[in-house]
Amino acid sequence: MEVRRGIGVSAGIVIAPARLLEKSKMAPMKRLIESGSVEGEIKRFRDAVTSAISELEALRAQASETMKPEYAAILDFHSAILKDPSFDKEVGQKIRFNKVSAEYAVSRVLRRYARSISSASDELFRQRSSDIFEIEQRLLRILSHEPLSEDEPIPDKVIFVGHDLAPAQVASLDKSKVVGFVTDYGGKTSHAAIVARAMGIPAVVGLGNITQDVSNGDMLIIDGSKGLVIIDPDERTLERYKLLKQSYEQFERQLLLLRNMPPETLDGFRVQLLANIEFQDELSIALKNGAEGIGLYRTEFLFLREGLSPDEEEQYYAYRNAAVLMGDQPVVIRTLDLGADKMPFDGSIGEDNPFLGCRSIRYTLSRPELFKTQLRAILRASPYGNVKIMLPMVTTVEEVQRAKAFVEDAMEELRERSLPFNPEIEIGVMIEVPSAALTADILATEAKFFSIGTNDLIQYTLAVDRGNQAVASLYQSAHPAVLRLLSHILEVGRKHSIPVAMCGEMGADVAYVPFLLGLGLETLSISPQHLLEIKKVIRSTTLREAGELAQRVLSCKEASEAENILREKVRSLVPQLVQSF
Amino acid sequence: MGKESRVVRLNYEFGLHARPAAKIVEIVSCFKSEVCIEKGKQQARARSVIELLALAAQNGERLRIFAEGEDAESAVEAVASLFEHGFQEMFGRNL
Repeated sequence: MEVRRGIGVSAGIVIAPARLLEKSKMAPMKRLIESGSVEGEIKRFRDAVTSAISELEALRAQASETMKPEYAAILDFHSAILKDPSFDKEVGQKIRFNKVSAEYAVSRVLRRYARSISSASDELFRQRSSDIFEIEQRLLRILSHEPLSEDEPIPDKVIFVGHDLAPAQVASLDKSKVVGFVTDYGGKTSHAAIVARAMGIPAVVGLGNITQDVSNGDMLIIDGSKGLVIIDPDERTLERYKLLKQSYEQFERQLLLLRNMPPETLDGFRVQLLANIEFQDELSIALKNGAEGIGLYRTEFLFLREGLSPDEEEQYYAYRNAAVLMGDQPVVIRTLDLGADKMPFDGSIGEDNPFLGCRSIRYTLSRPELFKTQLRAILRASPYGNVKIMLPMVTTVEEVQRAKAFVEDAMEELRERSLPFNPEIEIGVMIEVPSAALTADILATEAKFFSIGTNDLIQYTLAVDRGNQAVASLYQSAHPAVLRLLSHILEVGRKHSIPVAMCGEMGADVAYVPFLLGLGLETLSISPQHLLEIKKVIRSTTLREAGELAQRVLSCKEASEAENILREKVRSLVPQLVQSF
Repeated sequence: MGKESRVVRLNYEFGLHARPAAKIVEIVSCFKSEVCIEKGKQQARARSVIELLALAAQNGERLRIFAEGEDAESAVEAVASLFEHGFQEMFGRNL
């Protein structure tokens, strides 16, 4: 049994076997061979190279059929390395003079290439070094006679173990079988964390090298509340955790009783509680937990799944489904919020600093066809419910004007096709960049509503990359600059009669909710499985004390001071919540 | 046996990586001469995509193409034209 501590990013307890997302990147052991076996070993190596090249050629043929030129180019590059005369020569020499196995020689030579490439300063070169690892893994697999099985079926109920979780990987997961995530990298707001919370499954991230210590099938316990992962637990630990799991689930059931109660403070202030969703299956969790609509429908998954832009029909069905399920309740669809760096096969990657680059609204405004296709799909879904459009990462009012012109174009195109849509559809903006927050009064002239995206707002205000462990501690949600911006946005909203919602992570943090109510926030949109505990907090406070709390917190000079006051307050309001999470 | 060399400037905004390197190997395989590319003191055989990549040549960098063999002149000419405008035309902004 081994206990590892990481960052608990999604609460709950789960006990299940491990499933590694990537094959181990471990180098093969050094194995010496007899002098007489040298020629045979070289032949083994060359045969493996020949098989690898034919595998790649078969994949290449498929790739050109499915029109994926960028993928084909990667395969060509892999082939070129395998056909490289110096590769053949160096591996041959290593086997001959050092008397080592083909596996070891291949790995040593390729890893040296990877090192020489990855020491290059340029990010694009460094990415190529991961290609070299892929070539290594292919050859090692062939040498070990394992069949080609990159997508083995998943047995029942597993905990995924990986380095990190890329959005594209998440999109292709079979979510009915994943009951937890455990990763080497990441923090509270990394993609794995957000997805785990959205799926309502426990997750611990930032464990360092858990992928090295766990093998497929090892029994794992995740204690998401404490940030613990227990590998191969003993009998006593297993029993204890089974009991803990029961009491945890009992508390969850108590929360479920709140499902049909209104999100209202003790002194009668009615809050609107909406859900953030990304995947279709989250719609049902949202409804089950009493969401009053969708305050943020993330559309990125549609674009990441196949590597090709989804067509209008596919998007239309997804949006319409949400609109129909929610009935009269709002469904706020956010237009594509990705950077060019995340778009597979877009072909325009190569930004030094993608977070300050062509992403979100900037990206969609520069891809009129892609943008208009999405807008047409949203508009076509609009007659089926209460659909709204939300623009991400707006920094100037001109972007809103240009986006609205695109909406007009899209409407015109639908009129020509005689397709129905809601011509009065509301268009709002996300406030997630300091420039937008500080000019909210100007944006108010073009936007029907605001929604505060706290993750980006904090990152851009404090100039901290939340995924970078070296500076992650500077990512302070309660930094006075952040709190002042929030207060400012809500004030502008009141002055201009613009409804303001919050769809960022902060709104789902029990400690921040009383403060936000105190600032006058009326709409919270949060991941579906936090709805009940947030409702519990709302129903345990009064607007009056929330207002006093907000004033006290706004006068704090340091984030830690503000954070302490917030935690203390929520502990006094809902003690069970703080104890159990 | 001819020898030929020329100094060129890499004109390709993403630098000399996977795709351009694979292209050089492909072009050079049409010639009989041995072709090398030098960046400062670093040398790469133009038939080896790995050695070419290890140069990590960036856009605008000066490189020396060196060929030895019966068709050295045309080999240098072919590779030089790739460096000077070929990659940009072939791949454009696509990687």
